[in-house]
Amino acid sequence: MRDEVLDRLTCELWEMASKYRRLLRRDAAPPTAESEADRQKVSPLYAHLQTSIDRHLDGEVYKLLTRTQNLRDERALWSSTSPRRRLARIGVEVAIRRQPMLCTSQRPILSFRGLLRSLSLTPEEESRPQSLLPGTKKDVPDLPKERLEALQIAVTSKLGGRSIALEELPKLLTPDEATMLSQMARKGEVVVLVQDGHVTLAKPSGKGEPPRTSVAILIASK
Amino acid sequence: MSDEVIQELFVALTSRWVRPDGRLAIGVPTSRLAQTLRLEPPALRAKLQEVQDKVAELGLEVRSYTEDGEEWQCICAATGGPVDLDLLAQGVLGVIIRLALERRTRSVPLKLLKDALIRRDYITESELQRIIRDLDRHGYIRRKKGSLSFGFRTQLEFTEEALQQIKEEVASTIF
Repeated sequence: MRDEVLDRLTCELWEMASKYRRLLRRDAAPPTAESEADRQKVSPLYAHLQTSIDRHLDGEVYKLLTRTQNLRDERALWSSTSPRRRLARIGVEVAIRRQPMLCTSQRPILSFRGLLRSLSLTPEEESRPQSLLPGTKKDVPDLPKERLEALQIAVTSKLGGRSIALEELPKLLTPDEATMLSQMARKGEVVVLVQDGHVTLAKPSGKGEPPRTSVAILIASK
Repeated sequence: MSDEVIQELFVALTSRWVRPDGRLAIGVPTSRLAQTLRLEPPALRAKLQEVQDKVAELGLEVRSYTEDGEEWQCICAATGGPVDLDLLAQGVLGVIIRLALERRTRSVPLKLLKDALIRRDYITESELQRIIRDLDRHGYIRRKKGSLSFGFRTQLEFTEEALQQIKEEVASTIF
């Protein structure tokens, strides 16, 4: 008879814990009156707890009831704010938990795949870690405006809309044209993509997009 | 290792790249680092450890991540740093984190996200589209066949514990 009472007590605590665990998993909180009725139902059982399982279950039920109340309170507080503000508040919670990747430059200065593969290094340079970096920033030497425009046209007509093997590039462009290409890439007028050993020109990024600047000075340094 | 080499490695590890498809990548692929420095993997690890020892004083750490099957090395801030996203975008990321953690596949159907945010007036459709594009471009999520999954930055910048905490915060704020 005594065992039956204890079994019923265990079942009751188990069912209560399951109910609130299920609700919390769905982020649902029952009305306060219902929770209070459940709490009053569980409260007198404390005097009859005998096994550690029952004591654990009793504690679990109270913990779940507390979490339910917290959820209810927080929602009541947030309900007076606009949905947009609530979303921004989540943004704060996300921001403070980030361990961000670090960038020392706000503008990307290296073109994907172009960095290491397109390097044409002299033996002395090969052993230097500078080879990780894009290199010089030489501009096209002082030339008349017409000559500069002609160089630009020559570069875009030779490379525009085509995919050219990397090793073909030095043969295709004169040194001045190669330097002009570097300069145009650096200024963001064109994007030089090096992919699978082939070079293509792409349009610069639009407003709001990350800049796709690449560096082609290595072609000129050959 | 000389300070000069450390500087060069630091710049390389903190560089930003734009992939041909317009998505962002940060750091340097491990294979390229080994190739350029002409180092075997154990020697490269030792070099990276030297960088780690130097930058630890600045509250930074060298970390690696895998994207499209390729391992990259980068540097993360241990406490905080500049962000690429505004608060609303980070809020949407929080909601994506919550919805993803509720699913075994950790991917969120776009329709589900729209139901959660647009239908309840948290954000407009055009804003959501812009934010999803930004999140994808910056490496926080990956878009694939109408569903969203965690990108390399979400996996790298948030610990499992942080993800769970965000999930709970979202539960009490978005309802």
